[in-house]
Amino acid sequence: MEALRYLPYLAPEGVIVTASHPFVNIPNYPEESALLAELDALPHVVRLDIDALAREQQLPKSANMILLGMAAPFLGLLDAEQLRAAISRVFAAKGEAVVAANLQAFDLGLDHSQKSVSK
Amino acid sequence: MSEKRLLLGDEAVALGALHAGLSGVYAYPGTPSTEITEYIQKSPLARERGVRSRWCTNEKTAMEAALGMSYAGKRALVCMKHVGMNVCADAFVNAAVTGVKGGLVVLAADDPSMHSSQNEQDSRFYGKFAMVPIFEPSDQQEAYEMVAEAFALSEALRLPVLMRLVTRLAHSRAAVAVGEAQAQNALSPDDERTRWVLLPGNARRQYASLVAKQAEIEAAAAQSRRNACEGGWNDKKPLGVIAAGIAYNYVRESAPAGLPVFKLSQYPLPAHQVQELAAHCASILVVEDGQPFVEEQVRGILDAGYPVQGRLSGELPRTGELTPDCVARALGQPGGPAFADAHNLAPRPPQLCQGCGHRDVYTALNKVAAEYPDARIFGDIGCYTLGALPPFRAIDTCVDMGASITMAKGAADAGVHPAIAVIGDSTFTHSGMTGLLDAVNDGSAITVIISDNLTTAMTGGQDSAGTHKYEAICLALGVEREHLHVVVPLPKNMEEITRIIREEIEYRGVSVIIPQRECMQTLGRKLRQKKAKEA
Ligand SMILES: Cc1ncc(C[n+]2csc(CCOP(=O)(O)OP(=O)(O)O)c2C)c(N)n1
Repeated sequence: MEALRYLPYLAPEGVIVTASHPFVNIPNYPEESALLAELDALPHVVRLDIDALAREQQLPKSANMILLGMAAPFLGLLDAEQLRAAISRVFAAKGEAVVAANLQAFDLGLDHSQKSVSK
Repeated sequence: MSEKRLLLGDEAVALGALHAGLSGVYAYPGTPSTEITEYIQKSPLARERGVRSRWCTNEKTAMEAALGMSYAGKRALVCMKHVGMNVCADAFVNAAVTGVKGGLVVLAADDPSMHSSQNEQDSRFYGKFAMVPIFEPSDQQEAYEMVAEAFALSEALRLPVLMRLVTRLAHSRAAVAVGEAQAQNALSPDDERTRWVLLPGNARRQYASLVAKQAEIEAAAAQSRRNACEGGWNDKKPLGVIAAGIAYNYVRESAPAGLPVFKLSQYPLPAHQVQELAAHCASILVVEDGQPFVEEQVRGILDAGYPVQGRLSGELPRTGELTPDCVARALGQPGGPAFADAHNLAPRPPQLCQGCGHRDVYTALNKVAAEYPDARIFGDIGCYTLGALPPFRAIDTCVDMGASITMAKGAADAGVHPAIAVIGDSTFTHSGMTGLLDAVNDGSAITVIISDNLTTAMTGGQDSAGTHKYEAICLALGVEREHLHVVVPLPKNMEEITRIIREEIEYRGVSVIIPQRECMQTLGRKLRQKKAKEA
């Protein structure tokens, strides 16, 4: 729902990159099916159930990096290599395993975007 | 300039001030200005240089302390949100009469559209009222650079300089090319008592000299490189634009090529450039965020009948912040969102956090108030203002900081009973104490609740000036010991709290109840920091 909230700010060719499983924390949260239907009716949407994928790949804390990977091809400011370097730098203090997990998550997201764009 | 940093508008101001040789920042938190002082508090350069940066009790104490530092010859910065200008107006206006010694920059962050404020007053009016130069940067880079220029002009003219930001500039980030830090001023207290002692004889002389300086400050604005004529000013055009501060970006986004634009970032409004623009254009559109400050003056400068467009004439909306879309439409360009509002949206009104002590305070108050149909609850400004919304719907008024106690007192004087005030700890020291003294001196029948979460929560958890001193302050102001209570707002204490509120309502004098429990957010932050340290 929060991705839809800012719809009037989106440029005609702008892309929505979002997680598809909602984080329901208010009682009147809209129906998930209605949200997905509204999202899918829009021209440029890249969505993925990042929480499920993160769990499946045993990267439970890196769902946000999957999303960053999904957004990477559209950012324009920084390319994927620069983002990878930044991820390595930010997580360096937490050890190699954490860096590797976050890079893996990032690549999963990037891969998903590239596939959905070429479709 | 070589190094680039990604900075909020607020941070650009902070770094600009540090690099300009700042010796002290004096501020009371307020959105969207808070991050300026926070940046300085965390800055290694500020620590190394001993830059004074603790939070002040309110905007007036901040302004006066900064004036004192300026008197001593050093550069000082005062920061606040726009309504803070009301609180420090006495000091601000008179600082223009005494003048300054070390550079004094007063930064007011305006909040058009009232994202987190109770009005959208435009601080530029205060600058004009006090007759001082006003700087209004258009972007983060200018914000950084213009602070140093403001300090220099302040010292050259011996006047405070007002710098105005708006929310969008204060709270958005851009890459800023930054320079080197210059030295701080040496201690050199002023000796000219005739300037600083504003007895009528001196004040008349000082005021005359302030009026005489007006030509000089207007010339400074007319020559400023921040005020620039762009586009074709040669042949006659149907429309010219005056774009003030941040509005310049919106104009640039949709201006057709060759459109004559006067970019305005330093005031007083240079009359000559306005006349020049009018001579080349059949009409002028004034684009400015906030109130029609420039538009009104342009109407005064030009002949009656010359078509001036803007917020007053309806080309731009009279209220609310500007958007690139509304500016595009005013320029006759296509503008408007590509996508309409989504259908499946649920609003998210702000709420008190789960576990917040203010919740228990309102639960108790609502319980007791239900027994008194005539009860009125006078609220104040802070997180606890959210008690106005469901599920509590507990408060009847919220006007300005401190008004809970004084309005309850006035209503009690008029015969309202029970008259209950709810005020936060930081708001109490900001401007509740003096009102409480009035109530004590009058023996007014009010029940004051100081809901103490040990912090200034609404603006992000800054230190609160009176923490651990509230009982002592109330006693010293004359509240009677037996009518002063400290309680812990937790569901398990509900019976005790409601009993005390009931008893104190029945007491026809001033009573104070202090529910005291730390804010969930600052508590969580401290626990996380502790954990990180241990790891
Ligand atoms: C004159 C003025 N200055 C600053 C503000 C910004 N402001 C709004 S609420 C608030 C803090 C309130 O703190 P406190 O009273 O302790 O209540 P809490 O938010 O912690 O519940 C501030 C600084 C304001 N609204 N008006």
